[in-house]
Amino acid sequence: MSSARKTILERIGKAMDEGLVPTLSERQQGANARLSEKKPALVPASANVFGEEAIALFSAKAEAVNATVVRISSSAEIASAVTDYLATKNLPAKIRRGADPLLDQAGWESEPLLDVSIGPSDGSDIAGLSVAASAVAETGTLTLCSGPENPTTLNFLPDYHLIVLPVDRLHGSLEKSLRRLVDEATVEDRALPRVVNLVTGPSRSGDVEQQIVLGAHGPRALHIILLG
Amino acid sequence: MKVHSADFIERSAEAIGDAQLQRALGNVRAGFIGKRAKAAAALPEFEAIRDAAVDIKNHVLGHLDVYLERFETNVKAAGGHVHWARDDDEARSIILDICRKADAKTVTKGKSMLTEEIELNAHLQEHGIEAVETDLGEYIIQLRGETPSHIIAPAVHLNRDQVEADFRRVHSHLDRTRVLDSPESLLGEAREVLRQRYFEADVGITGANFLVAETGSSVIVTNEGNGDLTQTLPRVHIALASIEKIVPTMEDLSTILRLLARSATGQEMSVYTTISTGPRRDGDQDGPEEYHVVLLDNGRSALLGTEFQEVLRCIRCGACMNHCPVFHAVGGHAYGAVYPGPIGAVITPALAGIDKAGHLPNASTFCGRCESVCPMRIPLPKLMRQWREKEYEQGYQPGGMRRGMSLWAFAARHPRLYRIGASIAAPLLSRLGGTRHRISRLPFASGWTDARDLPAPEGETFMQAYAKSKTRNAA
Amino acid sequence: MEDSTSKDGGRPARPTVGLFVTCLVDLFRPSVGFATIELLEKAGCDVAVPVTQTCCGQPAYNSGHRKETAAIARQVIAAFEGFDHVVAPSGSCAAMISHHYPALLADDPSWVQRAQKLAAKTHELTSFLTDIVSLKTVDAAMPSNTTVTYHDSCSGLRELGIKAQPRALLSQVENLELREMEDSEVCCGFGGTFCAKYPAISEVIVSAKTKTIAATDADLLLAGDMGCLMNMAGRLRREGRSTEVRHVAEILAGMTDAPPIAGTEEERS
Ligand code: SF4
Repeated sequence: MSSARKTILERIGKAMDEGLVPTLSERQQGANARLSEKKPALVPASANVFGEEAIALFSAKAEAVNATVVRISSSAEIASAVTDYLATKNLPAKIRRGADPLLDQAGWESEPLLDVSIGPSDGSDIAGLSVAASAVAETGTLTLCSGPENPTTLNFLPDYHLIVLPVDRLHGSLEKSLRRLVDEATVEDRALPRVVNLVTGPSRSGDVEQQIVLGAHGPRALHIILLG
Repeated sequence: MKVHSADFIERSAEAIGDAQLQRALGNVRAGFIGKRAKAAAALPEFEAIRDAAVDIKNHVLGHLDVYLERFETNVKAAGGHVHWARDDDEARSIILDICRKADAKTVTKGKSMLTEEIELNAHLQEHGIEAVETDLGEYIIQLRGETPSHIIAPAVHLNRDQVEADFRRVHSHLDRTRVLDSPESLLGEAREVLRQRYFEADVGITGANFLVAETGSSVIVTNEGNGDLTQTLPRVHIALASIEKIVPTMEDLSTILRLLARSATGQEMSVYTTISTGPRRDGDQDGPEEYHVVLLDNGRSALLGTEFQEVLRCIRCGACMNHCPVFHAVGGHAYGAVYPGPIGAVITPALAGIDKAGHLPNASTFCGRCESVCPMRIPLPKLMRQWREKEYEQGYQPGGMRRGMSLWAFAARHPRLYRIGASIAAPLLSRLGGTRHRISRLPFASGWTDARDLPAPEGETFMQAYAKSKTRNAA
Repeated sequence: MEDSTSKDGGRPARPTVGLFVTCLVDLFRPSVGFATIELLEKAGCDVAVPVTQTCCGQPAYNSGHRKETAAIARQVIAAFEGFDHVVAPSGSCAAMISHHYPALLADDPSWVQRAQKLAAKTHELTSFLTDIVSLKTVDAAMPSNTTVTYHDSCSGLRELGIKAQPRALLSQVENLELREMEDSEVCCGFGGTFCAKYPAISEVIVSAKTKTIAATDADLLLAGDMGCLMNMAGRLRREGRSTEVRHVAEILAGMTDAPPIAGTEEERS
């Protein structure tokens, strides 16, 4: 409906010409300036954290929204961290994961009883494992990018979602985290990944009498494995 | 958009007499207010971020055409489609068309007030396509054939026993002896029933909380994860967004996100903030193959550059209704329109006409609590007052009200006349009050005396008494 | 403070205050007007009461009668612009003058500046006594130990930021204990013409209010606005509750001879 497009833009243009920002070229300049500047408006002081301080803040915030957090020092310990978690939850030793290269050296061979499969989820998996693209300390938020190596279905269909976060991917503020993603993703004019999921705790609903219940349509539990 | 706001008085009377509803409304007062206050207090920069967010949105509204075109270009570059709709009718046709091309039998839906505004479900149903709401609250009210009573908590007017009864009625294939008396068990059952529906759906329809111009992304914010399953599992994803949802950059998105969840539910971030850009890419093993954004105007552009423009800053957080004494008293359905509460009182006349929605901007005490919590600092009482002015100017104000107020305003402009009137009324009313100093029934003020006594004047007016005291002192 | 010394030098001049009585005080509760004068004089002001005043115009303004309101506003400006300060025993009327007159007359070049000037020197009573002239001592006492609870009227609270001022002043009153009610910042349901247009809704709101008032078990309910006070007093009496109701100025001025607003419960027939 290109005529709809034309009418809408004309209506807006007319309102603008009659008083908001006078000319189209001024509007273009104004918008272009903002788009190229990419300036954060006001980042809270509490988001201005680095290193161990950022890790501590991230962990505290994630736990405050009902996620659990463990820390390991090398990627070879991922498999045992997964087994441990499944065991404490009394779950079968079975995990569905993506093909993220970080998970190639996860020490799977040291956990022979763990049943590991690779690929998206069809809804039958109890536990899924992903790798975070980045994270935000100020709110305990993980950023997950879709792609061949991290299928989106893993983030939502399994009841238990385990996420590996290499600590060097942690940023203080949401702005920094998102800007890094955009910068990395859009080199050579490529678009952002199809979806970027910002995840802050396991799913929940307050729709019955405003009482918060964990485990709505997404995972009932979120387990974060900090790496490094 | 159909509105039933002309019956506001009858609807609100019904709401006030509805004990179930009144009990449920207690949850609004008890839940949202304290959580928001705590979240706002925990972020020292909260007030400054509100200012920054207002600046962002004002900038967007002042450059809206340019940003919309930029957004469109970037969606297309990522392989998505953009459709423009002038009104609800066009939006419905566009969506139906996409669904038909996808040969859709069922669509799942994430929570979207805009699809309520265009009455999409009924339209799809009429054309043989089943629309399944997946947000728990929306699912519940869909089972009941109701509309949302709140923009972020659609089923806030219900209690758990009502939900249980509906689930038992509709989920008749499940064991009749099952226990279903807690929010946990109700949620668990809805989760199970809906899981299947996600996989069956051919198209997933969501709204959009934001559109990011810089990247051509649509953004949804949810807690349940239903929006994500809705847009990930079917072959086609349609995001319906109104034109004012634009933010320029990820930085601007970040700023406003800091306000949204805090103002809505008191969370620092909602559980899922999902930034979608185009369809499935080469090598992707899941995600929709088609990604469509429908940009809807439906009266918004007509507000640009007018005294109502500020309402376009709204991010639909619901804080205004959560803090509104009138909403607390009558709930959302009494308003008879898609958007209830203070924001609805400002938007509905814009969408449906002040002649049809006159009660809404009038039914406010102007206590100002909505404005004080609105993250986007929308001056809701001022905008409601402007609608009252329009109503008066255009001759829609009820005659008695108009004449009474004109008479009074005339007297107020003629001090001597006013004095005389007051000095007659005061002793008269005072005598009526007698030794109890109050009046229990007063025919022409029955609105007042039906519910409360009228305190009687002391006797003389102040001006009389003051004049006397002056002469006494002089003597 | 402007004009702090008199023209002949030496002795500081007393600031002049125009008392904006408000229509409700004029008609229903002259005691509040006299209490206000008493307090202003105690604070060292010369008080005058212009006779051309009627009402601030808020009922017309909030009913959408903008032009008529602008006419009322011009009349108020003309009557009061000669004073150093304008004081009203009402947050709502003070906010009407200080916040809404300039907006109302924004398109009227010959009046907008006058509106702004008046706006800048118009104050609600308790805020004037604390923020502008800083009344040293209130010097009032309740006849016997009295617990009071305070309702924050909406306009004063949200448009003028009045919250601490009345409490600071009340803390100086002897034999008075302040017991805060829950949700003291929630509207009482008066809303000017609202309570006449939507009586059923107003009743729900004021009933919630009286419940929180009664829950404090206070002897006395105070507030700074007659509209809210009449609404809450009328409802308290109707419900047969015993809480008495007065304007805060009456207590601060120690002028409690007049019966409480809407009388006392014992007087119920
Ligand atoms: S008007 Fe303000 S408070 Fe109300 S929904 Fe919109 S943004 Fe939220």
